[in-house]
Amino acid sequence: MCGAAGAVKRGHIMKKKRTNRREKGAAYLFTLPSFFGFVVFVLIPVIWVVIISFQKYNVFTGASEFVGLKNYLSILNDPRSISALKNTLWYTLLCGIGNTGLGLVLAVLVDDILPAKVNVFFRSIYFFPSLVALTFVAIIWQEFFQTDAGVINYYLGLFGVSKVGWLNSQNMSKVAVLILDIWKNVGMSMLLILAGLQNVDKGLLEAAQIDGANAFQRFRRIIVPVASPQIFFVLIMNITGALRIYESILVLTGGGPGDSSRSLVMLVAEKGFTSFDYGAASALSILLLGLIGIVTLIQFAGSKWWVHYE
Amino acid sequence: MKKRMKRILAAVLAGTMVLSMAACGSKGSGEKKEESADGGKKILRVLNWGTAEEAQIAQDAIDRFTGNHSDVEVKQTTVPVDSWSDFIQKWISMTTSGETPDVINIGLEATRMAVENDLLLPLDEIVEGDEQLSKLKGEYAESLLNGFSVDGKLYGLPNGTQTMVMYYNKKMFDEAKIDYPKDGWTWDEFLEDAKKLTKEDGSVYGYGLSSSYFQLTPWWSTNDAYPTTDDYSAPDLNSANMVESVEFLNGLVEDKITPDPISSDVYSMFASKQLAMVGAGRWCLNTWMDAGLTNDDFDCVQWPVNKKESSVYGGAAWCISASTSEKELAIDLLKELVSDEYLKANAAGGQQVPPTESLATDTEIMGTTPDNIMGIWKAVTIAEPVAAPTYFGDIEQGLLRGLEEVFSGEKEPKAALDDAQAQVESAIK
Repeated sequence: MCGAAGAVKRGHIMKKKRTNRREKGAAYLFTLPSFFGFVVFVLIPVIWVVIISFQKYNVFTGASEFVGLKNYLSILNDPRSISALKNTLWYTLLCGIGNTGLGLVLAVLVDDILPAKVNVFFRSIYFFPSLVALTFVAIIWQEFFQTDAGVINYYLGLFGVSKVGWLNSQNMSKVAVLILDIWKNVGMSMLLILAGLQNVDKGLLEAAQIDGANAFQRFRRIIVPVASPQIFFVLIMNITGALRIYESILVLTGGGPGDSSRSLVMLVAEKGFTSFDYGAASALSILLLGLIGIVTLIQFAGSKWWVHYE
Repeated sequence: MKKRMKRILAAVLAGTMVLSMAACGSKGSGEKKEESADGGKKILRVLNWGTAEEAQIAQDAIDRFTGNHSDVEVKQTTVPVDSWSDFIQKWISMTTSGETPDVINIGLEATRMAVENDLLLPLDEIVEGDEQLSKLKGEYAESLLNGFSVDGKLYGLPNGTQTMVMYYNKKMFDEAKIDYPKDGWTWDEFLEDAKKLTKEDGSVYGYGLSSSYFQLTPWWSTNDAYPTTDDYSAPDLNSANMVESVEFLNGLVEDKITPDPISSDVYSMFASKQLAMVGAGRWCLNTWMDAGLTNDDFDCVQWPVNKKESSVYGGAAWCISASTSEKELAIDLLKELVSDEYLKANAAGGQQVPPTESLATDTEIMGTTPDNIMGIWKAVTIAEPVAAPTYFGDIEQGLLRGLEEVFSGEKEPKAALDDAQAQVESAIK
C-alpha cells in the first residue's frame, strides 16, 4: 500500500515537474522574439561599439587599427566633451525633474478634481504634443523663439520686457530647449502617473479629509506614496531620456549658439556622422552608457526611501 | 535543461553575430554583377538628392535611357540633403548593404570627401572619347569644372549650380532716396546704404545676414579670404582677412543693421518687406514671386567688394561610382542625365542655375524677374567654389560654431576664429 502511495506521489511529482518544464519551455519561447531583438539590435551593436571604441576605424574602407585608449583620452581631454557633459547634466536635472514634477501636478489636476468631461478635455490637450512629430512643430517653435520677429518676444514686449535672445544667447538657448522638451514630453508623464493615481483609494482620501488633512497633506502623505512606483518609473524614463536628449536640441538650436546647448548625444552624432570618426563617437557612447548606468543605479538606491511597492 | 537552454542561447548568439558580421562584411558586394528578379535584367542604381520634382526630372531621363536599353532596370534612390555628411553616410549605407550606386548626383561640398575615399571614377578619358560629352564640357563655366576636379582630374559633370548675389528692395531705396547699387560697389557703400535703410523702430533692417556656410562665403571671397589653404589640406579660418570679414559682419549685428543672424529667417523677412537687402541665389526667386514681389519691387546686384570682385558657387554634378560593375551602361546613363533635355527641365524647376552659359543666359529658362537676372550667371563666372575640403563637415561646423559665439557676444572675432581653427585642426589630425 505504502509502495503504491509512494508511486502515486512520485507520479504526481513527475507530472508536476513535466508541467513546470512545459511552462518554463513556453515561457522561454515567449521571451525568445524579444530576446532575439535585444541580441540583434542592442547587444551586438553595443559589443561592436565597445570594440570600435578602441580602434581607428575608416568607415569608407572598413579598415581598422587598434589604438588602445587613445579615443577615450582624446574625448576626456576635449573641452567640448566637458561642455557637452555639463549641458547634459543640466538637461537631466531640469528636464527630468520638470517633466516628472509637472507631469505629477497635471495628473493630479486632471484626475478627478474637475468634472469628468472637462478632465478628458484637458487630458487630451496636455497629451496632444506627445503625438506630434517634433520636426513638424519645430518650425513653429523657431518662429516663436525668434529674437527680432518672434511671437514670444512680441508679447513680452507688450509688457515692457526687452527682447530675449532665446536662440542666440548662450544663457537662454538651453532654457528654450527645456521649454520645448517639457511641452513635448510632459503629457506622456502625466498619462503614466495618472494610471498610478487610479490605485489611490478615494475612501482613504475622504477619511483623511474628514480628519482635517489639507490638500497638500493628502497629496504628500497619500497620493505620492501610493503612486510612487509609477512616479519612480516615470522619473527613471525621464532622467534616462534627458541623458540621451537629442531631437529637441537638434530641431531648435542645433546645439548652438556655439556649443552652449549641445548635449553628449549630439556630440556623438557629430563625431560619427559629420567627422566620420567612429572611434571617438563609440568611445563617447560608451562613456555615456556608463553615465546612464551610474545615474540609474543611484536612482534605484535612493528609491528605497520613498518608493513603496505593495 | 539549463545546459541545453544555454547551448541554444549560445547558438542563437553566435548565429546572429555571424549574420551581422556577414552584413558588415558585405561591403563591395556591389562589385558583383546584379540582375533583377524579373527576366534577368541588369540593374543600375542611381543615388540622387533633392525635391520630388527634381527626382521626377531625373526619372524622366532614366526612362529615356531604359527606352533605349530594354535589358536594363534602373533603380533611383532620392534623398533629401540636410548636410553633405548625411548624404555620404547614406551612400555608405547603400554600399554596405550591397546596393552600391553606379551613378551619383553629388554636391560640390561632398566631392573631395568622395574622391579622397576612392568612391568616384575620373571622367577625363570618358569625356575625351565621347563627342557629346566633349562638346558639353566646352560649354560649362570653367570655374564649375574646376570645382568638380581634384588634382587635375574631373570627377563630375555639373547639372546645376548656385551662387550668391545681393538682392535689394527698390521701393525702400526709392523711399530713402538712395541710388540703386551698381556692380563693383564697395563694402563701405553697402554699409552706408544699409545704415540709411534701417529704421529705428525695428520694422525694417538694412540687411539680413544669414549665418549659413554657403551664404557667408561671399563675405570671405570678396575680402580675398578663404576658409582653407589653397590645396585644401588645412583650415585657414583665422587669417587676417577672415578676421576682418567677421569683424565687419559683427559690426552689422552690433549696430542692429541686421536682425539676429542665428534665429532669423531672412528670406521670409525679405519677402515680407522687413529687409532692404539680402544675399541669395536663384533658389528664392519662385518663393518671392509667389509672395507677390515683382520687377518693380526688387532687383539684384553683384556682391559688394572690399578687396576683389567675387562671390561663391556650389552645385551638383553627375558622377560614376568607382566600384560600378557596369561602366559602359553607367556612362550611357550619365550622358542622358546631362543631356540638353535634362538640363533644361532641371533649370525650369527654378531652383538651380543651369551649368552652361547658353542655358543660364536664356530668358525662357531663367525668366525675366528680376531685371538683372543675367547677373546671376556673371556671379558664377567670377565666384570661388564653396570651401569644401575632405573634412567639410568639420570646417563647416567649426566655423559656424565660432561665428555663433561671435554673434551671441560670447567671444571676440579673433578669439572665436582661433578656437575654431584649433578645433578643426584637432578634428582632422
